[in-house]
Amino acid sequence: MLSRISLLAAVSALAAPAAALALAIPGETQLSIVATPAYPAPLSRVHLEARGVLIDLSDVELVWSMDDKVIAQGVGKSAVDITSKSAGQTTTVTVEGVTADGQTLFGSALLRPAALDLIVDADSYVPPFYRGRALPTPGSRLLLHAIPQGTVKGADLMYTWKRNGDTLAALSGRGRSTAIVEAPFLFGTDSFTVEARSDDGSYSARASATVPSTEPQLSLYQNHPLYGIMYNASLSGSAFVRESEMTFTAVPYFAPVYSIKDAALRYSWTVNDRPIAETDDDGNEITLSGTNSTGRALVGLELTHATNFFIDTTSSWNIMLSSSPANDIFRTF
Amino acid sequence: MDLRKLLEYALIALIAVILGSLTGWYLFIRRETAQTVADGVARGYTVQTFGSGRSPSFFTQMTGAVFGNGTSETALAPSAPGTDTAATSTGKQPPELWQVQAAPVAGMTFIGSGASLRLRYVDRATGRVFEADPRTGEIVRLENTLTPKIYEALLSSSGKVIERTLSASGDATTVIGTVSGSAATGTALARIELPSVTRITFSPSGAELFYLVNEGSGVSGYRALADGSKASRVFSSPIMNWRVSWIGGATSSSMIILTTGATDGLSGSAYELLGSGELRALQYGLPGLTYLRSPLGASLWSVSSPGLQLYAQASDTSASIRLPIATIADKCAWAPNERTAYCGVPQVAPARGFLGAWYRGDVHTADAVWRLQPGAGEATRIYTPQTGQSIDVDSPSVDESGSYVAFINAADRTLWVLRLEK
Repeated sequence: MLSRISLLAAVSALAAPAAALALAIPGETQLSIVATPAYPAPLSRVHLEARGVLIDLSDVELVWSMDDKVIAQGVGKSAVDITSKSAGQTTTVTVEGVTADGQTLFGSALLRPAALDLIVDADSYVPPFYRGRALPTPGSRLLLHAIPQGTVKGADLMYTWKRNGDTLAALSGRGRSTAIVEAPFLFGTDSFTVEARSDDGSYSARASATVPSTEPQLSLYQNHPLYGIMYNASLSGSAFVRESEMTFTAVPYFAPVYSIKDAALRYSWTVNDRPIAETDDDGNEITLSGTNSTGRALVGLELTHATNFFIDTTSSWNIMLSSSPANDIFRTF
Repeated sequence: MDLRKLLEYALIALIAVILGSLTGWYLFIRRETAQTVADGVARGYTVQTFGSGRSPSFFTQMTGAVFGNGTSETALAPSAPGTDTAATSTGKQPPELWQVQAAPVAGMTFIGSGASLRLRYVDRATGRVFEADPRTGEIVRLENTLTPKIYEALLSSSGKVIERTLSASGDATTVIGTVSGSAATGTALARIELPSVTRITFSPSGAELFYLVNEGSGVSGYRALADGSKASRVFSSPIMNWRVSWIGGATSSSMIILTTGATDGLSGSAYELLGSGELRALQYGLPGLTYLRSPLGASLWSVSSPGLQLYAQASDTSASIRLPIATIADKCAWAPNERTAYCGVPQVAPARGFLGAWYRGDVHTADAVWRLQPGAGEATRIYTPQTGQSIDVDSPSVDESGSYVAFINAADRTLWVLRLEK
């Protein structure tokens, strides 16, 4: 027991695949325990597998113990699933057995779950009051923020950021819990990983996220004189409007701008295939009147960016307005 | 013919001409008035009568509008085109599912309980504050300040109102006011403006505010008194898209909750903001997370992958239970007893990518209302809209006695109340 205690190697879910380190002693062969995931989250399922060098464990009676309590045993029982404890709490797992020729096998692992949350955000445009999240588009920036869970102070940890497996050295370091990077290229998908660890090894965790790029999405809304922009009801491909005249506002969700009035955005409107002259202000708005006409307007919009050539989004709407003007001398606007 | 008879005939003819002219003028005015009303309805206006004796005649209102009587404007209230206002003042119990206002509202909350229970809400077109009695259907106006295009409104039990609109540059502007007095006093809403606020919420008591300010490189969170004074920075984050809520009750400590904006395809997180400014995870790493917490620690949350799923947890340390319905936390509300929740549940399972599309107004659902007992993992449908009636439940709220659920119909932003007791 004392010898085994002396052999007990702490594994803080640092290195994968090897999850156990020990000194070999005569008469006892060391087994390694591989944990999957290598960085277990709190209260989560962890798969443990015992491995030996040049040892076939399929014929060996193995006994698994967790915190000195036997949890599984059997011939060839080389793997077991456990549930990790809460963040920061340690679990000691051991496996031992004897081969047919009398060789003693032993392995141990120390699991200390650590939680690390990785939040992904973007600085692309979304309108006020929008309850969703901004998505990354070419030209926008990804905001990656790691939040360690538990009592550990995020400012004391060493963070290592990786993008598609490549270490981002300039963004990594002590307390560097935030990384701001360019969004993936159009139609591209990037994988981001962050590892956080304390100097003494008591905390070590990893989190990752796969982030696809997208292109801006154009939505068209009625801009009602009393209710304002009707964000709750975007116009579909075909829409009927009761009024004979109405202003419509185009909202470029996730465009790489901070304001809908950004001068770099170009709104190119067409109505019934006729281009509409651009205006300096309110380029994202158009007013249509169905008076003395059929009332049918095929509205097209192309959104481009003055310097970002990846931004080129088009959309169209078939809008029917009332074509009967009110014959009302008292009509006021 | 003598002169006298001639004069008599002439007088009779003159009287006839005058009467005919007056009749013609009356008919002309009536026709034009009807046309004006029709145009107003098309534009979203209709005539609404107010309670407490303020019910000017229809003709007075319309001629007032024609001849520039400013008071007539207050008599006109917007409604959804082609529909009549559902406001009543008959004293009769409204229907089980009652459309309180057929025109868009900006926000609502229940005030009081028992006989004093009221549903207070802000009209989107005017920014005026109204109160509806769900028992009698009576609606009264509480204040008289006209502010059009109110996109979002929050109301506290202490009489504070937050109204948010857009500036000419498309940025949100936030104004805090106080509604005082009883109905029909015409009290003006005293206003204080807060700049650059992205999200804001009242404390449970209504005495404080918590709000986020966009500071370019991220957001900062501030706590302040309900009038906006004594603001202190308590939080900062490089993440820009947070949603905020502040829960608590008489028997529970208050908690400020920050939740990441929900979107399909990306993991979401919900955090408690601690006094130190640090965040304690409530849920994290869940795809398309939407989150709703009760003051005593029970929680509901939804994930969007694979498919929409709703979960419940009695406390932070208890096991989570998957509920047999598919909806999002935005469509749910806890009842005061916290053993029950009410949710709008789409009758047809939403398609992939629902979250973002719903928030953008690209899609809407036709919901039934369900009662959940999360502890038992049970859900019961309690109301299905009638044929031709469709509700897309958004931001519901349950009154203190658990007798009513109020919600906004996301499709048209109208206000509805469902009576829970039969």
